[in-house]
Amino acid sequence: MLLLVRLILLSVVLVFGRGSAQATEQPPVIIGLDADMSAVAVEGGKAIKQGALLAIAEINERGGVLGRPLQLKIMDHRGNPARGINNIKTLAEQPNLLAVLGGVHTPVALAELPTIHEHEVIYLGPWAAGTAIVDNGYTPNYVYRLSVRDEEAAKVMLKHASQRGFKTVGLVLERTGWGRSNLASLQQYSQDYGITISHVSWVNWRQKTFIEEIQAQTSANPDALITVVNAPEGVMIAKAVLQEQPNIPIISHWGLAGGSFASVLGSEKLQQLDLTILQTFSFHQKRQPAVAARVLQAYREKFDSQASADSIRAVVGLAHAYDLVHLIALAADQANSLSAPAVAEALENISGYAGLIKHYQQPFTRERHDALYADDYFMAVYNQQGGLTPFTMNTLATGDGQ
Amino acid sequence: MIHLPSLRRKILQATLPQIALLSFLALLIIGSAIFIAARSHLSTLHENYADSVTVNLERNLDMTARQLHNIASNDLVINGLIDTQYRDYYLPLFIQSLQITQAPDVPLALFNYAGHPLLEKNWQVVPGEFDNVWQNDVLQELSLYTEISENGILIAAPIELAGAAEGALVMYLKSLEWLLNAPLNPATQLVVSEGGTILLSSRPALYPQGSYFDSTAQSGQFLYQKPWRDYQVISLEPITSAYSNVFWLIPVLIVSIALVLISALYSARLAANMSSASLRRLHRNLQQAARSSELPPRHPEKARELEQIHQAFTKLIQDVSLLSLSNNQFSDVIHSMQELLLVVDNDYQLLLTNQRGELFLQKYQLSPAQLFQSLVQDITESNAGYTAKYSRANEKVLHISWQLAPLQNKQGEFIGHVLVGEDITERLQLEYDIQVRNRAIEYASVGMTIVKTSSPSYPLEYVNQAFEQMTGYRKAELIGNNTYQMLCAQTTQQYADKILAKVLAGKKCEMTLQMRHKDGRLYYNRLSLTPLVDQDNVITHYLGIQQDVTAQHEAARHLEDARLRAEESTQLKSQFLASMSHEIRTPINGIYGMLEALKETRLNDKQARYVSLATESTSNLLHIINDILDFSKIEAGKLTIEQHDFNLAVMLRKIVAHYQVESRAKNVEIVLLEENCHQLVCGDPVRIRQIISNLLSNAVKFTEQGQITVSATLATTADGYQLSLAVSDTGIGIASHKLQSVFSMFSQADISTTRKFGGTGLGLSISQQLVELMGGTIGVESTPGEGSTFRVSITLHGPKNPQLPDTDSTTSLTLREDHLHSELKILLVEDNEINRIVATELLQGYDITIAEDGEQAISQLTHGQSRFDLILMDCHMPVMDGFEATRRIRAGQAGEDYQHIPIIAMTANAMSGDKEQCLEQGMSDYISKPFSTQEITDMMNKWQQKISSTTSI
Repeated sequence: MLLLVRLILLSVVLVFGRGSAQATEQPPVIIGLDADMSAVAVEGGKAIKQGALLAIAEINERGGVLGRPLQLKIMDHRGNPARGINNIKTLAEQPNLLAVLGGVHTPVALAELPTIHEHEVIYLGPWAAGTAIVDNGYTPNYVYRLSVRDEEAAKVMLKHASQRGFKTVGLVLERTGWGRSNLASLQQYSQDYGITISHVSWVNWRQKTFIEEIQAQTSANPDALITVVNAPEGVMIAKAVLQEQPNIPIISHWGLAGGSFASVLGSEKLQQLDLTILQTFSFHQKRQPAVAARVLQAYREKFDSQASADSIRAVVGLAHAYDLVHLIALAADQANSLSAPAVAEALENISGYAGLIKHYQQPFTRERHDALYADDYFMAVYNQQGGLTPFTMNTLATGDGQ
Repeated sequence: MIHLPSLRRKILQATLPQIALLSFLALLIIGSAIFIAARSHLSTLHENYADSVTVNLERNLDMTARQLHNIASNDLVINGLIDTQYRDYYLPLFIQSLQITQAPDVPLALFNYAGHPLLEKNWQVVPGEFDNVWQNDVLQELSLYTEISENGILIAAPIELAGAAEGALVMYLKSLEWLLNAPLNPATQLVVSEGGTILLSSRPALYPQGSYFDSTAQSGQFLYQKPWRDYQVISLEPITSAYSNVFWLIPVLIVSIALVLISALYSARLAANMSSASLRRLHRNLQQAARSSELPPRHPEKARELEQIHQAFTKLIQDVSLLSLSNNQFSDVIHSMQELLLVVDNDYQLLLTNQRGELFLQKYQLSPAQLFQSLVQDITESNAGYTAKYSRANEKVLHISWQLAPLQNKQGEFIGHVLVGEDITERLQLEYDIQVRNRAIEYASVGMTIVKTSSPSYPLEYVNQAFEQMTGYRKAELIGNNTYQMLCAQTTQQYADKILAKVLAGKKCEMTLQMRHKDGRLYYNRLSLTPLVDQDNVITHYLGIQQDVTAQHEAARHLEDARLRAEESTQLKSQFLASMSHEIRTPINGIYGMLEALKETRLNDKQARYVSLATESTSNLLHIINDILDFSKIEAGKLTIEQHDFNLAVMLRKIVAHYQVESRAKNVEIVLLEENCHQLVCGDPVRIRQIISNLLSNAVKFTEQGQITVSATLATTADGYQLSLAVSDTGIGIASHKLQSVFSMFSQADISTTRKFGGTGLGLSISQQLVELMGGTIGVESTPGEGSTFRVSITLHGPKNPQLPDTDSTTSLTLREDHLHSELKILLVEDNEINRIVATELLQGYDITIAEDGEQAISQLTHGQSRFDLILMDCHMPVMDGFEATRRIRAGQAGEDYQHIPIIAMTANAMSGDKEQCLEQGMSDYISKPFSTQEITDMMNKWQQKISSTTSI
């Protein structure tokens, strides 16, 4: 039976694959990219774009989608929900739109939900981790995420804290839907890991100093801090920590990796921090060695001939976008349509896909629109070059990977 | 020769007309010079006035724009653009609380990146011409935008995030007047548009703003105007007042000229007389010498003088040659002097000067005589030097401090003056600069203090006026003292020592402290301490910059409160609202009924235990759902407080009667103390009943022995009534550290309480929110183990229909206590608590009194204060069953009034024949359990109609 399905799929692919040669006149299929390309999480936006372009190049090389070339249309939302909503509306007017790839910011994605569902646009989340982005209450739900899910992120960060013997942690959260989403998850699961939350600090976007808050945190005497912020606020917090309490370990959600945290803070200060950061992918992790080698090679050819396994900034965005674009192209081919309901159904029925991050048994189902869970995440540390390498207890013993 | 006029006459003839002519010319020249000087002085004066207006306007405009820009850079505003979910909880509060200029109700609006308005404050008054003018500059170019037109001033600032505008903050001022402090000068300054409209006037009484000003029709006015932006700044003053300070010079001038003329005449005469006399004597001598053909004998006087002059001259030449060498050295010394040196004789002929002195005279074209005359009076009078100013076009004014000494010869005779001048221009400039800085510090809007650290007591060495205002203490009370104890109300010595140590280590400290004002109130001081070091890098003082941030602190606290409330409520909503709907209540009542029915069937012990557990759980569930429904309504803002007339005393008695049943079962008595409550008042009876019920049910729940007191006082106030209510119990009480949280959601004194006593913990929270919705207060005092007292204070209004009967409790019993439902008063006779709840739930809005068995029912009918219309009677009850009770009522044991009261049987035995038995026993109707809301409502409606038709007949 399975064999039969595969044969049918293969024949469909072959038919369209053959058709593509003479059908180049047809208009290209569009994947929109709606992310911050210029403001606070530029590295994340750039990595998502690169991942998408790498996948698109591979797809076009083997004949495109529905026999038509695949193209990326980039819209910049600068982290501002109002711009994001406008971008979704603009992209929805594209006649050949297959799906929209989102960006780093949870508040933007949350604000876009009504527009996404009003216009029936398939929204692929390669980064923003807010639980409510996917658990959004819409039926049908057009949001699919191949990224961290905050609820799961909380477990991973708490588990990490627990493994390192921490009993109390202070939380530092940005004052947006993303911060609140994490507060809920961290509060929900902290007991499970025997951890007490000593104090919660809220951080505004573009806040100028964190000194008073770090003093308040310090007075509650936590073993470590868990931070859920983006890069600019991360830099501010890191500086305050170095000034007031340089030895406290920081367990960070991955928002830092979406912007220029390492480069702005500087290597010297970075090395003084005890900082671990949540990640889902590293070229060092050999879960899919063949795919990883192929993608790294393509990256070197296309973007940076000097790139190494840990030099690519915000590499998770690249990996997520790469797998998402492949999956959505596969779904469109299987649905033989660009219509959102048909593509969504096909996407929910893909099984056994060998991606860059892992081999997916079934990336999405009707009920489960998140492709990655706690088991797929790990903690990483910054190395001296400002790249991220997986954290092990060994790293700790040898001094935080310095 | 003999007929020639005398020398005297000749001199007088020759000099008189010239003196007259010269005097007249002098009069003319001086007169015109004064006029020209006065006019030029006036121009300069008015130019200064006009300049001060433009400088002030530009500076204030710039300050206002910068302030707006600072607010636009506030992280809360930026965060608000991103945090679309929750910004409504803090952004409006933030925007409403802003006060940018002194102008009241300044329109202010927040726009998003596309120029769409997000929040507005007073914006409707902004003229349409400003709608689309600023967007390009602010949103695209990221620059501050300022526009001044005849209709007002618009200032827009971008909200910047990483190099682009994500929004804009825009304010509008109706008039320039808020940007200019009234100028203090005798003239009038105006800002006038091209069309002649007055935009700003320093004397609005004379030149009202908005009126027309014609600069060509201002004869009789001294008028100065200069352009500013697209407008003209005009300074004007009536000519009579402008020149008033030179008019008085004219008579003085004329008198002086006349005096000069007279004295010139007199001098000419005297000179002529003297010269002619001496010439005549000389003439005589010469004639004499000529006649004697030899030199006339040397006149003794003259010869001696000549001799002396000769000798003196010879000696002088010798001295001069001797002194020549030292003279050169002397000359070097005086030329090297930094001071100006001028030595003159008594006729002000220059005897000696140095290079600087010479240069000075040349530069300012002064003769020594002029210089001395200008100085000598002041100097000799004051005897202590004199400072004079010298100016030339395009050069800085030179300030010279002069010292005068008499020049005396060896004999001590006064032979001239020595004048030494010191250039003190730079010193004055330095003194002025220091003065400016001192004034800036003294009048700064933030408090500034300087503390001396080299003294062990750390005394205050300086405070400015702002600090005096902030603390309420005068300088004299502060300076020289260590004011820490006096000012820092809430700071521990330990913390203060820590800060001091940090400052003494050379670190800058910033902190916010709570301090105490002289008048006793507490305020928050944002304090920045900066150590000051001397030349040797030793810390001698520290500078404190202090600002009263109480308002910000309060605002931040309110924001935080608002946010916490918002977040908590949202979590609750998402967790509960989805599953709790109004419809759930009805099926649960069904479950009750069915469980009850099941209980009546034959069950083994295990089954009976299971059913009992199920009923208990369902009871808890129903309670929870009711609370949550109310709570959701409050949180969603859907719950409104209604206003109806009702009788407070009647309500209180009913509630107490209701809970009395339950409390008596525990041997606890409820005592009702009411004062002045027999009033018809206007409020929300349903919600007030709910609050009191919540408090009373808690009191009953947590009190095992003793008594519960409900005291209510209704006081008359200016605009209605003040209800003060207290519910006191002798129950378990609440620990002091839990007192604050009893009104929080889902809070009981501790988790074990929930396990023991059940409930959602929402009751008090709901009560608090209801009280707050009514504008009242609720509070609690408690001693653990002794009991708790909850106090509620609510404002009620006078009745809408005061003509309705009130006060008398017996008549008021017939009044509708609340508006919701029928007037039907029902006695519910039911032994099973669950069934009572079911029936009460289904009959919500009806006035229900409960009896637990037939005996209680008859007692209620006989002794109760209520007059019942209908009885709902369970059939199977302990003590006295429904059938027996019905027989006795029909027999008149409950009084004649109730002999024919409708009695409706409720029975779980839904078997045929039951109905017949009920009717046989004298019951009026029959309803089988479990019943739905519809069934019971239909039944009630049916009987209500019957009752009212009977009454009307």
